[in-house]
Amino acid sequence: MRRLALVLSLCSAALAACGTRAPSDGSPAEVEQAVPTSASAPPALPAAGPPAPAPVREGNVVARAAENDALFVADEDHAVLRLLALPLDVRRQREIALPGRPAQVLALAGKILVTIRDPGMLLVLRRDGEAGLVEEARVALPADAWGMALAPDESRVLITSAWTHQVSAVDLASPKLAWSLDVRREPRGMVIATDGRTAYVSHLAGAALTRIEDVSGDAPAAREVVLPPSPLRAPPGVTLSASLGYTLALSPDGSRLFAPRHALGAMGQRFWYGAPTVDVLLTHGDQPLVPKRHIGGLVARASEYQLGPVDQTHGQIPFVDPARFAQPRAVAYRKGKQRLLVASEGDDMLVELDARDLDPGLAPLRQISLTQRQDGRMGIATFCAAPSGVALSPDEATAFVFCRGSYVLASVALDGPSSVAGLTLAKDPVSEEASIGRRIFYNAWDDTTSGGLGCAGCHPEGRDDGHTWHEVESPVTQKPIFVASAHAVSGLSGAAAGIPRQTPMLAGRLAAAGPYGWKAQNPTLAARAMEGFSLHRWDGHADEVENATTRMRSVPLAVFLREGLVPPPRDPARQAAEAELRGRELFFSDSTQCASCHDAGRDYTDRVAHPLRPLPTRQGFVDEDDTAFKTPSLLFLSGSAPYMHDGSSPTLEALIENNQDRMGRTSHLSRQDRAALVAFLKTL
Amino acid sequence: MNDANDLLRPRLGASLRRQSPLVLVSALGVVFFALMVRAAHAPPRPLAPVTRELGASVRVADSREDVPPVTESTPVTSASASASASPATPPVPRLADRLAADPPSAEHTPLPTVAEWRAAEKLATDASICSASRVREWVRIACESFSAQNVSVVAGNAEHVHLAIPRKRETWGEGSPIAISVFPVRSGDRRVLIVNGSDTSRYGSGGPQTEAVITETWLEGEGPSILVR
Repeated sequence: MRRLALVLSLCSAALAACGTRAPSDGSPAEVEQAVPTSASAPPALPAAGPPAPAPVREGNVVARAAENDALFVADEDHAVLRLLALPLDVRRQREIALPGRPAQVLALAGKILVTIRDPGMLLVLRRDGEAGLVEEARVALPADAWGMALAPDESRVLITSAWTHQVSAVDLASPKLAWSLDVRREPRGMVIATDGRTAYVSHLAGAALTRIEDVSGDAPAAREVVLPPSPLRAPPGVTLSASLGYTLALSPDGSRLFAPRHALGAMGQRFWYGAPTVDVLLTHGDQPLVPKRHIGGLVARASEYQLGPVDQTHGQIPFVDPARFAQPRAVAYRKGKQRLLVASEGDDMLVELDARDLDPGLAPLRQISLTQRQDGRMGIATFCAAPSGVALSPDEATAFVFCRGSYVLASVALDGPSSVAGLTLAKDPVSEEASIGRRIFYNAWDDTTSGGLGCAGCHPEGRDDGHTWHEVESPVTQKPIFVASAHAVSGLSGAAAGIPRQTPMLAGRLAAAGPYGWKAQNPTLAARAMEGFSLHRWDGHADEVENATTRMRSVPLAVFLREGLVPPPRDPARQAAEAELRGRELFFSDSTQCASCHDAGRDYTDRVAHPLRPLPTRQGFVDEDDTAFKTPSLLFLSGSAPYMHDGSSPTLEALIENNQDRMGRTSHLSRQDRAALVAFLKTL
Repeated sequence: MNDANDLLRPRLGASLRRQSPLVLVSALGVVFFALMVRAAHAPPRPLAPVTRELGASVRVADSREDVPPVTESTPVTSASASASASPATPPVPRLADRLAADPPSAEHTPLPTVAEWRAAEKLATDASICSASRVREWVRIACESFSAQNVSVVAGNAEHVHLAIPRKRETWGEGSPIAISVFPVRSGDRRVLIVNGSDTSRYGSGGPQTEAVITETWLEGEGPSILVR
C-alpha cells in the first residue's frame, strides 16, 4: 500500500478570522465574546501524549484527541481533515488533504481514524512528534464509508458504508478488513455494546435498527430490532416510520441506546412533518424504554371550563412544539450530567436533553442557539449554519460543534449561562450563490422556505427519506400541502388521506434545465423549489409562490442543488456482469420499450408526463384523477427504494414483477430476463 | 323596552371611554391590590376535585379524602426561582434530590391521608408551574396553569394513580385549574403523565398545548427518577 507522508498545509491568516456569537437559551442575546487565543505564535502540531483511551468510541464529524490537545474535523465539502490545537486559536489550525471526502473521524491514543466516502476506505493516521500526522494505512472498504464504532478494547473498528449498505470490520493491529456484511439501506450511525460482541446500526431511512451479533468474531449475523419512533405521539395501533438516523449513542453502562432521528407521522398540532425524537432502547432485551401509550386511559378533565374538544379517537398526546429541534444530525453524551447534546441541523441549535428521561426529546432541558437568526434578507444562519458534529472537552464543560453550512467551529460553554464563540475555518468551496443555497437547503426556520423542516429533512444529503407523503388540502389555507401521515395533523380527518407522493432522490438527477414536478408542471428547478416552499408546510403560502421573496431563495437553492449535492459513488472500473449486459440489451430493445421514455442521453428520462394505467389505491391514500406522471430519472435507482409515485414497490424486483406492461412491456420476459433487467437498472 | 342592565352597559362603557388610560390603570391597580390583601388573609378552603373515570381497572379519586386539597398559599417554586430568592428564604428542596437521597422502600403502603399530605414537605420540580410533595413511596405533583384542561396517564402503569383537576379557590371566586397527580413510586415503574391545556399565549392558536410532562422511571439496578418538565 502506498504510504504517503501527509504534507500539512497551514491555513491560518488566509482563513477568515474567528467570528463570535452570543449566548442563548432560545433567544440569543447579542454579547460579543472573544475566542480564547494562545500567546504561543508558531502553530505547532500537537505531539503524541501518553496512551489514553479514546474519548468516545463512536465516530463523529468532530473528535477530540485522546491526548486532549487537539480537535479533528472531518470536513467533507473541502475533502480535508482539519486539525485545531486546543485551546482554540485561529493561528493554530491546519488542514490535511485527504484522498476523498471524509465522513467521520475517531481519535485513539496516537491514532486517528477517518472514513473516506469515495473511494470507500478507512484511513489510519499516526501521530508523529516531528512529522505531524503520518499516514499509516488505507483499508479499502465498500464505497461510501461513513460511520464508525470502536470496540471497547480498541482492537477493531466497525464502519458503515451508506450507499452500498454494508457494515465492515477492520482489525486495527494489522490493519486489515475482517469482514463485510450486507444490511438494510443507508446504514449510518453505529455503537458497539460494552460487551464488545454486539453492535447497533441506525439507518437514514426506516425505523428499525440493525443489530449485529458476534462483531468481534468472523461470522457476524444481522437482524432487525424494532424501535418505534416517538410512540407517545403515534396514532393508535400504528408504528411510525423514521428518517434521519444519522447517529446513535450509548449510556456509559451500556444499558440504554439513544437514537436521535425524525418520527414521520408523529401527531400533534401543526405536526405536518412528524416530529424530531430521541428514542431509547433498553439493550437488555432490546425493548423500547418508553411504555405503551394508553388510548382512552386514565384522564381527569377540568370539565366546567373545557376550552376545546378532547381527542377521543387518538387519546391524549403530548402537544409539545415539534420545532424544539429539527433534523438531529449528531449527538454527544455528557456522562457527568447524564445529558445528551444533539446537534440540530435544521435550526442551528445545540439541544440538551435529559438522558434519564423515558422520552428525552419530548421536553428539552435547553436549546442553545449557535447563530444569529436573521441575515437581514432571509432567515438563514449568519454564523453557525447546519451543525453536523459535536465533541466535548475533557471536563464536559465545553462542546465543540462543527457547522457544515458555514464551516465554523463553534465553542459552546455549557455550564452556567451558555455562551458561543467560534472560528471560521474555511470558505464554502462552491459559488457564492450556491453557498447561500446550501444554507437554505439545511434551514428549517426561514418562514418563506420552510414550515419547520428543511429540504435536508426529507432529502438528506440530497438523497431521500424513503417515505411516501400525503398530499392533502391544508385546513388553514385550503392549499395543497404534504403531511407525513393522515393522522399526523390534529384536525385532519381520516377522509383527508391525500394522494401519495414518494420523496424523490435529488443528488445527481438535476442536471436538466427542466421541466420538474410529478406532472412536469414546473419549467425549471427553481420553479419547482418555489412550489415546494408552499407544499412543505402546514398552512401553505401558494399566494406568494411567484413573488420576489420566494424567487430570492429558490434561485440560489437550485444552484446549490446542482453544484453542491454530491451524487452517490460509482466504481468506474467495475466490469459489468453478464446479467447486467443482458439487462442493458433488453432495456434498449424495442421489445421492452423502456428507452423510449427513459432516454439514456437525458438522465434516463424524456421529462414528459405520460398517462399511465392507475395503480391500485394504497391503503391510507385516495385516488387521483390525473394519472399522468413525468418519466422519472433512473439514475441511482438502486439506493432509492421504495419505488413509484406511491411508494408501492418496495424493490425493483417487485416493480418489474408487477409492472404488467403498465410501463413499457415486461410481461413477456422470462424470469431470467426480468432478473437481468433489474440487474441492469441497479447499475444506473 | 330596555331593561336596567341594557341601559347600564353603554353608559358604563361611555363613562370608561371618557377616562384617560392612566386613570383606568390606576383604578385597576387599586382593585387588584385590595383583592391580593384579602387573598393573603383568607383561610385555605379544601377543594372538591373534579374527576372522571375512563379506565375500568383504574381507581380514580372521587372524594376529598382521596385527593388532598391544594394549599393555595403554597408558592410554586422552581429551581431558578429559589436560586434568586433572598438569603433569608431557604431554597425549596427538590423532588429529584429527595428521591435520590432517600429512595422509597419496597413496602406497599396505603394512600396517605389528607393530614399526611398537609404535613408533607413541599418540593420543587424543574417545571415552574409544578410543585410536589412526598409521603413514603407516594408522590403528589400539582401543576397550576390558567389554561390546563386535563391531566392523564398517557403511557405505562396507571394502577394506583389518582388524578384530579380542581380549580384553585380564590377569594374572588375560582382561579386557575390545578392538575394533580398522585402515584406510588415503586421498583419497575415506567409511566408518563401529561397536563394538556390550550395555547392561550398572545399569538397562540388556541389549539391544544402540553403544559407539563411527568415521567417516572425505576428500572432494575437504577434508582427512582421523576422528571417534570
